[in-house]
Amino acid sequence: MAPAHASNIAMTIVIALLAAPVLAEDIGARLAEAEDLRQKAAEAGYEWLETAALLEQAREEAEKGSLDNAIALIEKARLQAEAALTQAEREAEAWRSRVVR
Amino acid sequence: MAAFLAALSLPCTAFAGPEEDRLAFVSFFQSRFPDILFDEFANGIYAIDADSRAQWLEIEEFPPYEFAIEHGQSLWQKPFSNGSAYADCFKQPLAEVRAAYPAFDAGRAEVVTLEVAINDCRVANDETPFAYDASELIDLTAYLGYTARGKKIDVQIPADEPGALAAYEYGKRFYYSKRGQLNFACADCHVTSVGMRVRADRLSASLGHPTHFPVYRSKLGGMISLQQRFFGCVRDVRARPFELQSTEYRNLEFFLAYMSNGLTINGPGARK
Amino acid sequence: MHSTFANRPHYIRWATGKAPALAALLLLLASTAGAASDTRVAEGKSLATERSKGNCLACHMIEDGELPGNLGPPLLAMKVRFPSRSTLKEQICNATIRNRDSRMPPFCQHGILTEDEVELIIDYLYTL
Repeated sequence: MAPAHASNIAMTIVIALLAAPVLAEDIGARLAEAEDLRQKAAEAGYEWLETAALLEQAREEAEKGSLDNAIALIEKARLQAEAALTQAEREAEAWRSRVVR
Repeated sequence: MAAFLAALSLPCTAFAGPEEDRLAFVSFFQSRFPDILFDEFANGIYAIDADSRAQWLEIEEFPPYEFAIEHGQSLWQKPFSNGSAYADCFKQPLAEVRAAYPAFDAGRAEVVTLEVAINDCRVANDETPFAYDASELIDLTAYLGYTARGKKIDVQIPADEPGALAAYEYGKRFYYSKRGQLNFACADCHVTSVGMRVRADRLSASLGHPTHFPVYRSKLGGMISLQQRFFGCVRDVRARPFELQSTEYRNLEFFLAYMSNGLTINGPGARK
Repeated sequence: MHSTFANRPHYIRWATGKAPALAALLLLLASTAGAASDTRVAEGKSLATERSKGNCLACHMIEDGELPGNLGPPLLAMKVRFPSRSTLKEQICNATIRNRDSRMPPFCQHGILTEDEVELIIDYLYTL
């Protein structure tokens, strides 16, 4: 029993060590994806006020190694950029009905 | 008969030109505020808010923008290093400079505002252009607004100039589109909710917005241009503001100024 | 008519006579059963008031709230106006579903408030 237990612990450590760099790369990909969406919103003329700052904070958190914080900030920025793009699509036509006639 | 009626209504529904838009815009505000004369809308919020009007009239007795006018005048009269001056760029009589803008410049295929024209003049005379938030530039426009007092806003959209109409349509679309995290269009506050209160502040009518800028804002303790106000509004609805004198803001100014055609220029102004 | 009443069994006469009191008791029971805790209501109130969160006062009058706006209707009698909690939640979370041109920010849709925060705000609104 004892050796098997020890190997389980060793296995856990190996997994944790492997997982860390993977997670950092994952953050890079998530950042790139969110940044891409932000730029699309900006090109449409619909970028929101805080999105770029959220991504900047996420980068800083990631550099400090606070990966959970970084992911939460990226997620927030991504949702903002997506909602801004949805807004842009909707407003492409929606504005017309508001024109004073 | 039905076809005849359809043909009659077609020009209104399928294509509302700038002049139809303007008349509808004016009559919207006139029916919302039946007791207020058309000319009064040049006074912005003080046309419709009796409470703050008295306070404003008091401020106007010792106008906080006076220094800006004097500063603007001395800048206007000071020759460039090459010996020429602003008056060499702006050929019209002094009192008519302000009312000539915003205008669609066919050669450049874009809207030129007074601020842009001043900077163009500087560049043409080997001077560095001002930043669009520079107090020198804003004070120059304060002086030109002051000298133009009594003249009418008269934005032209020539029928043979499709670019001008396109710029107008762009500004109109911007004005009516919701943007930002708060999902507000300019029109949501300054048409639909005009006169209503956000917290303690009453919302002004868009009709007349362009007549009195630049304004001295007590809250900020300084002069701001119309486009700086656009910048602030866009930021307030939590959208990323555009650059001052961007295509977006120039076209918006073009549209808004056209909506106020016929109102009297009364800049610079004083606002909370 | 009076004689008809007198001929009814005594328990009906008792209940009829006490109807207002009974109704009040039932109402009290119902409201305490559905009532949110004081802490939730307090949290909801502060979320509703905070400028960076609900900022409801910007556009709505709320009981003693200072400097209320009037773009939207006053927030009172909320249980009568919104008997359905889910309808009220949708109005706060995304008013543009019902009306594309609504001037009410889509609070959840645009990430201004989380759904949990809206639930707290609703607990507070139902006390108004």
